[in-house]
Amino acid sequence: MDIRHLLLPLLLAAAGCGTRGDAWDRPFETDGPVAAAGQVAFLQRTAGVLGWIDPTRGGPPSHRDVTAHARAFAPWAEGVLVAGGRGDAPVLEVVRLPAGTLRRIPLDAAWDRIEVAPDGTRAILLFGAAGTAPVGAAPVRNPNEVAVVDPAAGTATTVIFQTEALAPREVVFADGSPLVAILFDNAIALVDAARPERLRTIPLKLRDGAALRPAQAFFSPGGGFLFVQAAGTDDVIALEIAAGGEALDVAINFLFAAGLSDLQAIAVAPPLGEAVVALYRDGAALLDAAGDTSATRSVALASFHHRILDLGDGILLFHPAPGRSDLGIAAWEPRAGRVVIDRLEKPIVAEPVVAGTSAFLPQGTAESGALTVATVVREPARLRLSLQALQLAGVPTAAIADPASGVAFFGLDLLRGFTAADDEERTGTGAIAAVAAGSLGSGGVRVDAPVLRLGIAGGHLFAIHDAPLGDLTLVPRGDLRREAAVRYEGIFASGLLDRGEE
Amino acid sequence: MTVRAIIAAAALAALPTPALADGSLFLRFGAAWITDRAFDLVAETDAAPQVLVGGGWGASDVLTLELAYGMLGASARSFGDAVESSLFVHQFQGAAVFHLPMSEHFAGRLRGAAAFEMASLDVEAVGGSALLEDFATGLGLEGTLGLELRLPVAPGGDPGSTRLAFLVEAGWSWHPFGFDFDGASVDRDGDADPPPLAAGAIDVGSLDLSGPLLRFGVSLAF
Repeated sequence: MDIRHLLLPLLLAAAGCGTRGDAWDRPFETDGPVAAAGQVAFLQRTAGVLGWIDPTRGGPPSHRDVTAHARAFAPWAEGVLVAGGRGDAPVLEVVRLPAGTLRRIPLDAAWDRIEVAPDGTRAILLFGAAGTAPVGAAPVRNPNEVAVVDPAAGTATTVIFQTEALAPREVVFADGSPLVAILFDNAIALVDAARPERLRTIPLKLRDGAALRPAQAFFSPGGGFLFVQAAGTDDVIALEIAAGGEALDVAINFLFAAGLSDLQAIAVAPPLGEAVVALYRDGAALLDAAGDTSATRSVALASFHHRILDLGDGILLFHPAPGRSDLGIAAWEPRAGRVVIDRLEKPIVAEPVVAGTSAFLPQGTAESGALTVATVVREPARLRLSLQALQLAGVPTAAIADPASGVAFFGLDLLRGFTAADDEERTGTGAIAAVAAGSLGSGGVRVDAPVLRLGIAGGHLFAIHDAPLGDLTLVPRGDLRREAAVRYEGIFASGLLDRGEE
Repeated sequence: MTVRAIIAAAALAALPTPALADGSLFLRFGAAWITDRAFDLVAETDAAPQVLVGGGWGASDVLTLELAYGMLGASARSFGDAVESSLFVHQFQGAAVFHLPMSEHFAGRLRGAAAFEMASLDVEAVGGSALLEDFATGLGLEGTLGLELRLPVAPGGDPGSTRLAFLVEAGWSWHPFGFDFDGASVDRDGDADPPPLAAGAIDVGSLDLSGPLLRFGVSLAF
């Protein structure tokens, strides 16, 4: 064949050669932003790019490659954890921030969920309920198989529990102890994260075969007990955990308050010692962990309450559920046997937050917002509940408390009052409001978009806005002015040109 | 086949060669094959179409100096059509062309060029309201080998008079410093009330446009 006849087809073929990889066609999946080691970190999961903003340094977000098969992402004490890799070679990547150094820990299974202890020093890897097996992974997975991770040491130890559950539900970490509890559908699993060979599975099956489904659990302040609220019983299940020893010995107690029924919530509070507070439909009780009924304290409540807040110093606040019409609110000091009962003016619309010794209860309608600040005052003869109403400039959409400073921050949506005809580009359509507990001194800053979520990273506050490519505003906590705020739009585009080979 | 081609080339080379024209205008188009994987963000293939327009001045019998303006662009949707990205490069090019006369109508050519380049990158979520934009400058160098067919505009005309030329050239494009898109941001209306918050820059990364190139062209020499 004459070469001239080949020239055009060759040129056309050459023009189309070199197609890009499949990763560019996978769905756009992102995680974060989250606060991690004083940074604001986020993950572009599909591209395998981790980004972070150092609030003290400013400038563009830094970025680096991580696994392009990320399945889970979470902050830990010194950075972030990314679980991923191909299913036949799963890894946990431990990234330290802001340096961006990465350490890869091989894993025994392709876990798709990471739960990290509140102090960030330990983590548990487990299977989510709805996860699908990644490419290369075994077609069968055991939901009882979890990994106990020490990120600083770079270890991941696989342990297997013996339950009949389909998937783990929640993970509860003890404060000041390495004990971890994992709530399954019909069992509780305990493991000592410092010595993972110490583990125990406690089935929650009744004699007739019915299962108790754990709904909420807390370790006692001393770490000697795990209190469990389970669907199907009004008793609080108390697991007494023997200290030391090679095995994890557990004794079970069922705690109850005579005359009270329909258990709603439980809580623990350090000043109340090894005891659990149980909130029922018609009252509340402080139950001794060891089952000493002579130590039980109880109070009758006429209104229905939903949750318990610890206001510190042995005082508890019971509040109604967000989105319901209940208005009752009560404060209880069980050790002193004092209670104060009151009513809110309006229903609450979101879960309250606690800052200092006050609870902040968001209220409002679809187009306006308000707050009630509940503060309990001890007076010589009684307990007094101060309910102070504050008007907000917009609908509260997010809240976070800074325990150190006793300031509560609220993200607001100022856009909802605008009509559809207001179609020009708008600025100042969101706001961050700050209210100090005690003095109720308030302040805030307008931001350029409604706030979806708030976070605290070091000395800065970040507000996350709704945008597919990521959008956040960073502002110093102590300087809530527009001049001090910086808006980062398109953070998930960080490093897209620098991503490594698949 | 090979022997016949060699004889034909020798016969052509033996023919008298025309003198270079004083000036020329040209239009060239083609593609650059970009090997940097970063280019995948803005294109579904490695090929980026390019157009070059300019003029030349015959400095001697074998040397032409050229000035040209070039455009290179690509765009693509990525991540399940969630993100749309585009790249557009303006090139201001100076070049020297050495002609290797082969016959009355054919000439080989060796071209070296340097360009000041301005690139703009856009990234946006499909259906979103924020367009992330950045701009970077760079240096482009290229070297090509080509073959030119020159035809008199008037049939039977003087070979030294106005001529139409067709060109094919291939070579390598080199961008020694690449393009750093480390200051991307969304341009907001500064007249809004209140004025928009200070925009934090986004570092999208860097891009190297180096790679082989192939161009076709037509020129009018006078």
